[in-house]
Amino acid sequence: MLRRSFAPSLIAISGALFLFSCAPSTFPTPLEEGGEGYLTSHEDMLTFLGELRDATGAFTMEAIGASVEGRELVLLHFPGADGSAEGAGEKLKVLIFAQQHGNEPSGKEAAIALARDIATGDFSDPLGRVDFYLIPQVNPDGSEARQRTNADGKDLNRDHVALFTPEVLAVHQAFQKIMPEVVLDVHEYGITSNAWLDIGVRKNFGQQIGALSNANMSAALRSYALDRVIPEMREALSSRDVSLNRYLVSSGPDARFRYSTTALNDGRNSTGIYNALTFLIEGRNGLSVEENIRERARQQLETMRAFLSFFDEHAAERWPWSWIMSRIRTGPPSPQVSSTQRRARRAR
Amino acid sequence: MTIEDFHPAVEATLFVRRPLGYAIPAHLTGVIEALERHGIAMTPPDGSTSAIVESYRIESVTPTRKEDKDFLEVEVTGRRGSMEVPADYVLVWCAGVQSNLIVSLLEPQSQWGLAPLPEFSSLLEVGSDYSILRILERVE
Repeated sequence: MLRRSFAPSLIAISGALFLFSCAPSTFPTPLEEGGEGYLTSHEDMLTFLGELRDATGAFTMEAIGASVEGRELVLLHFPGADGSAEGAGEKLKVLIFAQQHGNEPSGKEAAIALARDIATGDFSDPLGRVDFYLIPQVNPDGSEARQRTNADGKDLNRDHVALFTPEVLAVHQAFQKIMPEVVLDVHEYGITSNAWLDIGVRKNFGQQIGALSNANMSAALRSYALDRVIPEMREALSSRDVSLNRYLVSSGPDARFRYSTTALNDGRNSTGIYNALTFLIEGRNGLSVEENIRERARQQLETMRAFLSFFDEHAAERWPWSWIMSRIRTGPPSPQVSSTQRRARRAR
Repeated sequence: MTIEDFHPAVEATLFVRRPLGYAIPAHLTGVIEALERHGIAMTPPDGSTSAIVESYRIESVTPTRKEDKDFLEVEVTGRRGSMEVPADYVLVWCAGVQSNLIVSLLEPQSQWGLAPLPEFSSLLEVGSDYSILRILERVE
């Protein structure tokens, strides 16, 4: 798939990081090159990422498992320069994984573009303080079939307790090996549901972001996510023509709005119970899987970039990182095993 | 549009005290394999694992619906005693970063654990003892 011109000028930083002076447009992703309705196949994704790795040397790509139908699941690691930026202390480990649901492809498309942007130097600043890991596609079988579930009909984002599926098991094995302080799980939300359609409304909440919501997560950590991370990302994204809102679900306009779940069986909370600071993004899906995919992927990419930029800018702060690290070393307080959602005393 | 019915707070409805660990019958291979998939370390009894343990009796299991999702409401009674943990058990110690995960997975009343999953339904037979024991204290 050698179809792009690529004339790099190498810059060596700390003898390890190679950045390219070419713009991302000289290394277009399969989606950017594809025609109307095109979605990047698993095969094209691996080919593109392999070529990108070989050309830039900016990341490693490791097979971490295989799907039910045998498609390879890969983990990209962008170590950046040796050491960390001045005053940054130890680098923050950040893990992003995308497309657990096969019919939500924009996260994968954005992850491919994010890898390209970082590898080509268009977006390499965060690597000074962030040790970045990326799983661009968790559910390749579902993606090829344009379906939510994996090839066995399992919803991967409901399997994070039992870890029966090879795809989710691979994610957790990678998570346990990396033990990141920050995690982002990338999804898309459907824009139609009966209760909303009944009043003639399609959902459009822009990009939505949710924080950890299990009762065992520290309230202070949750507040950091809701009061610091999300507002700053919202501010940054407003200049990029992306509207970022809290991720809430409701069965209809007159029903209550709540967290999608407080359970541990999703990607956000199953990693959050390790005292990581975890999030999920829900981009706005199309009426079809392919509809408006380039704009959907652009918004996901901008959101991922804003996410990484936040943690780059705040990596040197004492809170919450020292707290997270101490909890990882010593363990958390006693657990809660059941919960309910309620109105807050003061609405946020 | 102003959202009136907004529930941004998560409130615990059941706390349990974290035990030192759990003793799991070796024949519960499904449970043990699930813990292994989570990378949770397990050890066999060392032959002299005397402990004060707590066992549960499953009093009732009631399907219910909360937060627009189906749950099992499980009622238990507990009793404590000293015992030598038999050799055909494996031990899981609640320490470090996985400690709350271990409790969440193994407590019978946990909304988020293994027991409510259909694959582990035999753990919650009403009128029976819950097979997994809580280790409260080691006895020298």
